[in-house]
Amino acid sequence: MRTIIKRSAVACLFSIVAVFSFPTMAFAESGSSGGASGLSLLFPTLGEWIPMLIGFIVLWIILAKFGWPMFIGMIDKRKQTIKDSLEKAENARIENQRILDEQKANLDEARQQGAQIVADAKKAAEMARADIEAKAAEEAESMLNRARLTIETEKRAAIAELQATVADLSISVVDRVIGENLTDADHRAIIERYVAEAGSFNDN
Amino acid sequence: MTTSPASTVVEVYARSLVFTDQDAADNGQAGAVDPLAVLELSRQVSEVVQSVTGSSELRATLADKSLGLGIRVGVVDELFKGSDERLLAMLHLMIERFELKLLARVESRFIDLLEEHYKITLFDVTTAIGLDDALRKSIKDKYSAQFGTQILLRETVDPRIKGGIIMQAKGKRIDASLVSQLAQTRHVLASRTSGGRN
Repeated sequence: MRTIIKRSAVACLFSIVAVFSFPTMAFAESGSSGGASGLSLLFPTLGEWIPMLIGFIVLWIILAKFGWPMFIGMIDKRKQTIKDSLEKAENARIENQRILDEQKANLDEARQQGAQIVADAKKAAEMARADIEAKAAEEAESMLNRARLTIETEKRAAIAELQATVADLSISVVDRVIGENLTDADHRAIIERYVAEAGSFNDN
Repeated sequence: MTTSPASTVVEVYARSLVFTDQDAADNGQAGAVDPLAVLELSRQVSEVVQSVTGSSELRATLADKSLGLGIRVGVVDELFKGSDERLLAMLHLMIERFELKLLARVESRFIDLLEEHYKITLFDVTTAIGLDDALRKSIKDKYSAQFGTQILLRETVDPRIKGGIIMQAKGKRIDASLVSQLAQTRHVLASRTSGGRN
């Protein structure tokens, strides 16, 4: 209601301004009355005032019916648009601020994680280094032990081979002596001694 | 204890070699042993067993079913010409029945039956040179007392033993040959770390 009154007042004011802005047909007096005062020029006569009033009313009606609503609608729309824009801008600002804060928090977290990763990597590298060193030392010790064992084994094999060679040589000498130097009488003496020394068959 | 069919067959073959018809007529009573005959028979049996078991070609020929019995028997007769008739008869039967694989068991059982039947001990000796009578007597005297039976020596001369004597009887063996003693000495010398000395 107040809006309608406000609109009507504005429309009335605008009409008055519009009426007085239009050039009115001035019934110019032929000069007979030459004597009209200047002040009467400012105020319309009755014959002028009624058409003017009718025109004013028609104009007012037209404006009130079609013009003002459209104008007011445009203004309202514009106001609403501006309001929406302002709201959007505010929301966008709030959202941006929120995103900014979030990004800052993410950045901080990423920095912390990065620092932690670096620290973990350093620790792991240190552990790997220590492990590699220990394994290398262990491997070196193992190689030394294997080498010692190989040397010992080869030494024993060489000794055993030498012993076998000496044994073979000794036996071959004895064999030759037996084959060349024993007579039949010697053989029979050996047989007789072995028969006498041999145990019972029940002992085997 | 139940005996297998193969054991029964082995027993039959072995008894056919040991017992003659005269023994059967005497109801299995042992007659006087002829040492030479017994030694000769045991020698022939041993020779047959060694020949057959030592030659895969001979075994394959005698077991070849595509060859007629007459051919296979002829091979054996030719190889072991002059052998005891009981031995040849046993071989013919074994060939006919494809039971030559039992020969080694037959020989073992034959020796056992021979020793039981004649109360003897077959004594195998191997020497590098031939035995003289003194050695034979000393061996017989020593081991006849031990076994409680008459000792029949089956002598083999094998120079490869280098010297000494190898004796076998009742499935046991005493090796007093020089070749085995040299081998043992070599083993001791080669294995001890102090060169054979303790």
